[in-house]
This record gives sequence, C-alpha cells and structure tokens, in this order.
Amino acid sequence: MSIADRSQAGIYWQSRMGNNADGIGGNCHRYDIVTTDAQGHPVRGRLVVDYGIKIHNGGGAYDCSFPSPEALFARRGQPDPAHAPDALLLTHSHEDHLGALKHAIDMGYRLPPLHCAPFTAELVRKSLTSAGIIEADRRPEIHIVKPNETIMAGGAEVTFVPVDHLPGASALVIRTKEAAVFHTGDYKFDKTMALGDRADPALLRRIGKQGIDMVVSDSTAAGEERPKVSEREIGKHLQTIVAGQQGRAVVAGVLGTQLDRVVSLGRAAKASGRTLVVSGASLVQNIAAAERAGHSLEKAIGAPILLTKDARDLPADRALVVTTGAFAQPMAGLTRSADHQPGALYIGRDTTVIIPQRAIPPVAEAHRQMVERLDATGARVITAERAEEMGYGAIHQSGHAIASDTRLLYTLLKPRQVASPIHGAPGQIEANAEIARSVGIEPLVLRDNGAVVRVTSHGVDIVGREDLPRIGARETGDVKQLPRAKPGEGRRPRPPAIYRYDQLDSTGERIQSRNIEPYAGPARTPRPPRDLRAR
Amino acid sequence: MTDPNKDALTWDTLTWQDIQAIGMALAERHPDEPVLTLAPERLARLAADLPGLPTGAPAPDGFTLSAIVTAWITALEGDEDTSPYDTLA
Repeated sequence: MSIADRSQAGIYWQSRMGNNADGIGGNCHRYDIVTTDAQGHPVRGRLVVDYGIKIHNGGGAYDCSFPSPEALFARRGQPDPAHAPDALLLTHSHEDHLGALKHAIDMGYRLPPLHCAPFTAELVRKSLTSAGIIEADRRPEIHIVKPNETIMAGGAEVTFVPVDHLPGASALVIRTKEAAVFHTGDYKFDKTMALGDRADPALLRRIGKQGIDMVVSDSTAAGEERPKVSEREIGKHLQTIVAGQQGRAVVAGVLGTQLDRVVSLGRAAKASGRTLVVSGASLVQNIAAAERAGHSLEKAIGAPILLTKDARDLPADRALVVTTGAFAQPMAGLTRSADHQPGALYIGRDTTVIIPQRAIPPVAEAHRQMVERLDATGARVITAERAEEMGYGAIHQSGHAIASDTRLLYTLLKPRQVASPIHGAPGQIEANAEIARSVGIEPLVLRDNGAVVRVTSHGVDIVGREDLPRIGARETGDVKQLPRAKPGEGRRPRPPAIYRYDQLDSTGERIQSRNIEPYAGPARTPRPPRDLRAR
Repeated sequence: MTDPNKDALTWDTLTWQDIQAIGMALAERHPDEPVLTLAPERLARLAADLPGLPTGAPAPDGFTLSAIVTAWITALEGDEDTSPYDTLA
C-alpha cells in the first residue's frame, strides 16, 4: 500500500468511501492540515468528516460496510497513534454519515471529539444508545457547534454553514492560510423549510469572495432538471388534499427523519381543523430530539402534537395521523396497517392515505406491494407518484440539490480551482461535473476512493493514492445483553444486535476475518430481584 | 406453584445506566407527561424520583437524558421502525 506524501503546506483531502465507484453510502473524508501558526511554527492536524455506513440491499454477505477504523482512530486503552485525528466533524444526522460510529466503538476504537449541530448530536446519542453503548467511557466527547460558528480544529478554521436538508445540516468551510475547501455535505436550497437555519445565498457569496479553492459537493440529485418544488408548495398541495377529505380519517406515511414534511402535514391538519397525531418510534423519537435541539415542531405548526395514546377519544375525521412507512419498512406503522397486523392503525374504505415521498429503487417493489395492499382495503391512497396525476400537484421533492441548486452553489462560491462531485451514482456525478463545466469551473472527478488531493491557493494536485480497507458487518443473530428492564406494560426495544466484522479490501472483497469478542454489556453486580411496581 | 414473575428482570436499585428500566418506569408512572416536549430539568427530576435510584445519585448527563427519553418513547411506541434508506429521500 502506497503512502502519499503529505509534507508540503496545504490541505490534503481524501475520500475514504462513498465516492463515485461506490455510489452512495459509507461517507467518510480525511482532511490533513499542513500549515504554520502566527509565529511561523509548523502545524499539522487531521480532521475526519463524517463516518457513515453503506447499506447492502439484501443478497450480499454483509448488512452494511464502512471505512475501516484502523487507520482512522486509536484503539481504546492505547495511546493516540501519530495518525489520530484531532476532531470528527459531522455534517448531519443521516446514518450514511454517522452510522459507523457505533461499529467503531464496538470494535474497540476510541472516537476523537465530535463536533456537530445540536440535532445531529441528539441523533448520535440515539444511534449509540440503540446499539447499547451507554457507558460514559465508551462514548465520544460531543461538542455542540452553533450555525455559522467557526471552531479551530486540527490547525484549521472550520465554519459550520447551515444548508437545507434536515435540521442541523451543515456544510463545512475548512480554511488555512494556504487553502480553503467548501465541503457541502448533503444539501439543497429551499428557504421555505421550517426547521433549523436556512442556507443563505448572500452568506455563501461572501464565503466565495473570501476565497474557496475547492468545493466537494453532493451529487445525489444533480442530474434532475425538472422544476424545483418548495416545501411551502408541497404544504399547499397537502392542504388541498386534506381539506377535501371531510368525514374521512386521514393517515400519512412518512420517513422518521422527514420532520419538515411532518410540519407541512401539521399545518395542513390545522388548516382543516384537524389535530396532528404522530405514531411510530423513530418518528416520535426524532420529533422529541428536534425539540431538545431547539427545533420545535409544535411551534412551527402552531398547534399541539398528540401521541396516539393521547388521541384515543379524538374522532377519526378530526385527526391527521402521521406514521412511518413511506419506504414500506416492515415494522413501520403504514406497513403494519396494510398487513392488518394486530394493534396497527385501522385503514379502510373511510380512510385517505397520503404518502408524500417517492419510492426509491431499493424499496420500489416493497413500496408497490404495500400500496397494492392499501388499495385493497378500499382506502383512497394518494402517493407522491399519483398526486400530480390526480391534480393535486407535487407532494414530494428530493432532499438533495437538483441541477438548478448545484448551479446556484457554484455560481455563489466560484471556487478558484476545482469542484469535486461526490455522493452520487455515476450518472449524477457526471451531471454535477457538467454543471461545473457549464459555469467555468473545472471538475475533479475521482473514479475511486483513496486519491490524496493537495489543495492550495495555487492549484490542486493528486499527490498519491492509498488503498483503503473497509469493514463488512453482518448481524450474527446474537444480541447484546440488554440493560436491565423491569416487567411492565411498556414495550421493550429489540436488543441491540451483535455484529461480525470482516476486513475487506478497497473493492469490498473479504481479506481477513476479524471478528471481535461479542460485547456483553456493562459489568454488573447481581442483586436480588424486586418489582418496582410494588412500591 | 409457578411464579408468574419468575422471569421478570427486576432489581433492588437502579443506576443511570439502566436506561430501559427508567424509560419503562417513566412511561408507566407518568402517562400524562408530554414526553415530546419535556424539559431536561423536569425529565431529570422525574427520573431521579423513581424509587429504584439511590438518593443523592449524581445527576444524569445530557447523553443519559436523551437515552432515557428514547427508551420512554420506545416503551410507548414499540420497536424501531426506521428505514435504512431514509438518507436517500
């Protein structure tokens, strides 16, 4: 394995995973900082941006894969190696950007201090807790960063710039004397989204004027040329739909992270005199996490939100129930209703079902089957795919930058050197590159991960390429020892899975079985049993 | 005679690491609390007042409080229903 020379001044960027040949997932980037301080003393630092998983869509040997932590982090209980990063910066709270944190911890690694927005921090805590990582000595330090705040990390100034994607989503400006990089994370432009801070074109123009050498940019939807639909327009269309369902129950199926869409549904409910009721663990947990992070859905809607337990006396035609299941995931509310599972929300001839989210390829077949089953109940089913044909207008828009957004970003930032498209299928990467060319910016398209790119204000060079092992993870079928729970009426969570970890090469081929000892949970002193209810 | 609670996981005292137990106990004892919007200070107080936690135990940190709310909601709403593909929406 070659080691690239990173001795000259500049910012060195390396995509560890999630680049072109990989498609989307397992996002992780390493930035090495080589600069001097105000007194001229040499400064070297290292930052890791995001640490996510790539989901393997059935049939493969692994449930997910992610960049190997071996060359990124120190092992717990051992001193920091020379390569240990100074900070781990998280752009946002999706699992393809932070889902590998729990795996690295379970593999025995110690994470560097995390820096992220409040909502991202809440979902890091949720991700680790769900994996049974509760003990203080295994958790990372989490440093909350405010919108537009600049921190010093690894010898660079790093500014967290709000972008429109989900609450707390941030692009990063990594700046030294020698260079400046704008790392978009996942983004789009939609000033009508309700939660969090909005992407500010005027601010981005000012950042561009300060000088940006390279933009590393999200390509997920860069090839989409159709007119953009704002969240406000979606809200109006949802309002029309809900207003037309007098006397009927209305149930909407969303994704647990689609909180701005929940706000749009809540406003539609309020306009029709209905109360918003939310159901489904991930959705409710995320709404509560948003509240703790300062993004109140109730304030954005202007009306209270009820849980199903609090809405039992509410007539069905006075409620709008939002549950999970837009992607037909097996445990979600909408899927369970479609399957008539015991305890699931009733859906029948007097129900209107709204699914304001288009199906994506990995879930298309499951989604089609679920809609078929919902149709069979006699319900009126309005999917994102059907809404426009039915005359309601669009009720879904991608959470990622489409072509016009990508063009706007490049026009505002005007990078001096290059734009490097990442995070997309090959066609979207090429579309992003073409947009860069169309506004006079040279694209830097990296076909594989591992290239080490040196960025300075004088130019951008690929100075080497390194093989980057990754980890393939699959559930063993065993589960971790659950933290103790007393008997009662509450429902217990599924115990966290124990994974087997194999080391893979940079192409995903297994090179070594590296299973770790299953984590058995925190050490405990047995105590005599006693039922809390007895007190 | 068979004891119906013989498989019950019950203990004499709790610690702040007993997240599930605390979440389930809160769901059971405080059905009218607005778990969606509960202030951290009130959550900490409700949790600290549970009978299993020793008097004078150190206050829970932010991570623990977040975990307790997550467990409380799980006790109400059931198992995880997230989609691994949320990120592609």
